[in-house]
Amino acid sequence: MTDTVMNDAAAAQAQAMAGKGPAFLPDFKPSTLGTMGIELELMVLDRLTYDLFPAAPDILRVLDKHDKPWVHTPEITTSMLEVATSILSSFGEAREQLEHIRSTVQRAAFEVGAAISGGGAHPFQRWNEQRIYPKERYFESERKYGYLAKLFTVFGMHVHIGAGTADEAVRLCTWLTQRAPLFIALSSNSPCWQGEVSGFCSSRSNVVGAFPMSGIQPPDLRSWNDFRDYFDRLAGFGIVNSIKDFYWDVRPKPEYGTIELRVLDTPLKPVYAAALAVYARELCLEFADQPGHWPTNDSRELYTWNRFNAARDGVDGSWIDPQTGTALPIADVIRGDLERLARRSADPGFAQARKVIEELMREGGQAGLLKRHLAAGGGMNDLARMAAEVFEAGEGMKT
Amino acid sequence: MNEELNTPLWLLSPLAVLGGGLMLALVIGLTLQRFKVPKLYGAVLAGLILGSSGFGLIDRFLLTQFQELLNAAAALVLFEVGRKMDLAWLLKSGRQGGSLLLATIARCIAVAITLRLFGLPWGASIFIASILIAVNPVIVNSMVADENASGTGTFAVANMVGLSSLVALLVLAVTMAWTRSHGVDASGDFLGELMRQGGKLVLGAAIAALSYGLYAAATRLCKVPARMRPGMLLAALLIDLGLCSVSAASALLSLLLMGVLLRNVEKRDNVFQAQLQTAQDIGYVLLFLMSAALVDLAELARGWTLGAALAVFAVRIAVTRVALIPATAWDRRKKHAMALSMCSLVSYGGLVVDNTLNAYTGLDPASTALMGALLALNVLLAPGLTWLGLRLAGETYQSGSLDALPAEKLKEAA
Repeated sequence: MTDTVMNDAAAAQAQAMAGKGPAFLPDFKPSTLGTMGIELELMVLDRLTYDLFPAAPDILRVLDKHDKPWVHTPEITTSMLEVATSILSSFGEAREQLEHIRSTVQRAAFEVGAAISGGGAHPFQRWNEQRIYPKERYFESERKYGYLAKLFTVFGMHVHIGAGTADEAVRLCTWLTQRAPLFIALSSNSPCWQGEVSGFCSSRSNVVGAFPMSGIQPPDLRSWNDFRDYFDRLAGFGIVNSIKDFYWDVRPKPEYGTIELRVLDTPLKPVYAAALAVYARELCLEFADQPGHWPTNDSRELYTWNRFNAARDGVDGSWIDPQTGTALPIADVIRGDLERLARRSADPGFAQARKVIEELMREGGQAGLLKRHLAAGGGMNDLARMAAEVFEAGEGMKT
Repeated sequence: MNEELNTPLWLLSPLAVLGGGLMLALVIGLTLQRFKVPKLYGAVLAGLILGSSGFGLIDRFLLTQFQELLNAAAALVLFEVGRKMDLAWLLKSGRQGGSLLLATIARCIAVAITLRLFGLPWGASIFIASILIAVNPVIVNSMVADENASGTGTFAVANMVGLSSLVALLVLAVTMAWTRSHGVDASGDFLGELMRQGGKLVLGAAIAALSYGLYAAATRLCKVPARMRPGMLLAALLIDLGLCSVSAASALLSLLLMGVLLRNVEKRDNVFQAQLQTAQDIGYVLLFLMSAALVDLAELARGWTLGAALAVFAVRIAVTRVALIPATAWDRRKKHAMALSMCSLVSYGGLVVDNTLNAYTGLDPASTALMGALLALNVLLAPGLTWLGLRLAGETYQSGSLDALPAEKLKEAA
């Protein structure tokens, strides 16, 4: 009976997402607080030019033959593919599974003649050359969003964190949103866009803003009922049809019982992804230990400014603390967070994760590495090649 | 000044005739494209109209005046083929690379047996079969460019073009030595001929290594980024071509190897990552126009040659498809598509650059007639089948996809 109800809900959700059925918001599934899941959107590249290569359908078909704990799915264009871990509980587990994902996907891609890379945006792809993945949901997106659908050929990492209850999910979203710019800075690795140096460490971050429902969860929502009312109101106008229509930086994901941090560029190395996910998880656990406590300053303008600074300057940028109004170097804020969280973390791998994040803040982080390569005379194609080699080497290459 | 001549002055200029042919090919091709017919058929029609089957304005004599140019163009096409060969993938992808190699060998054997069954002598059958190993790079590259094809099938076909050309060049050295020592105009002993043909290949390979070495040394001396190095590359290619020309080495193998070396040895900041843009599309049309001009449709009028040529075409496609069975990276539809896209064949002149252009005179009349019919059929059929293969693979693309209805695209994807 329960299975039938769940299948019905999943079917209604799928119909709503494809734009074929009425708007649908599933019930929030109870979950274990602090569990993690990581989604990575990966680039599929041509092995000669390192331009994007429409081989995702073939790679996915090869991956179908593998028996594995993680899942692979298509993305909006055929040069992208998405992988998602199973439910994880520690840094060690995340690191191990992500490395397994990396090596398996890389092998599958090689089999069909493609290369795989991390990174938030391809340095020189042209949006109009991308091909929509042949799936109704994506064609619906193309019909709805026009060129924005192809422009959305950017590559992000999403972190899911078990929120426990529906009301707590809304509260954790609000708190994590305030610190989301720190994650933009730490993960930033897309300094080029459409063949040009963009002047931003994370060009990808600017692409999402074009979508009408981008931004952040409205700060006046204080419970799951508030959220449901808000959803119903927008659905009544025909603005949204499913939770997927909210392109927020942090959003609840009711069918998983999680909140989803969506601002990160896909890291160049899987181990970075594991460390960043653990950092987000530990922050959520800290917020969860202060029940009923809400941010005192939820200014959208302040958030937008912090987000802009983080995308432009990466780990060398500054962040205005919404609670105190003080501008601080992003690296100092992160170090302060890590020190505080280390004292309370129960994850045996947290110290290692902290070291990895420290590495991400050295010499401008991943964006700094790519910019140095450009400054040394490397072309755009070569930049894409280098990123693919870093991914291919996994943890075996010092960057 | 030319009042006593009846022929218009421009017709006396081979360059003007070729220019006119190119213009006609492009006009017809671009018009056909509006009706969803491959653009390369413009070159086919222009060639047939102006060539041996039509007004006879472009003939073997006229093309002989461009021999050096044609040799260079053919060699540069092979260079392009070489640069698309991904050795690491061919060697390490297991079943995929293996199935392509198997296809080259299977094509040779199956075609030889088919031709023998049609009554050709074994020697001629094997000689023709060794030529028919190769996939025609002009047809494939031109179709891929026209249809903006990209994907795993296209990647594999590009590798097959390189691999099949390489295997064909090597096998042809042996079969040519045999034909020259045992054929209708036999002039020497087999071992001597084999040494001569093998020597051309070895010398070609050595010149490729030397030219690549010069290029590599030059790039390291001035240490400029890849995007600033196309001029150096052109210089290296000219050196290669020139040395092959004076030493009678195999320019085709040499340029093919230059492409392979530059693609696979040069790892960091490779000039090819800078996506060299050339006027190759126009070059392909011109080359194909010349091939079409030499086609004599009368070759197809004889029933047995047409039947035999069609049988050879079918056998090559079928055998290629069977050879792809062990590969695991492509689904059935893609394998069908790839077998079709690999159906084109090259002429003797496409593998051996010398003064004989397209024809080899050492074969008996029946074999020569069949080879002529095969080339005629190649010009008429292969572009269409290659185009069909690329479409079947679902790897062609026209920009502005919103023009096409998503429902149609879904149907296509299904």
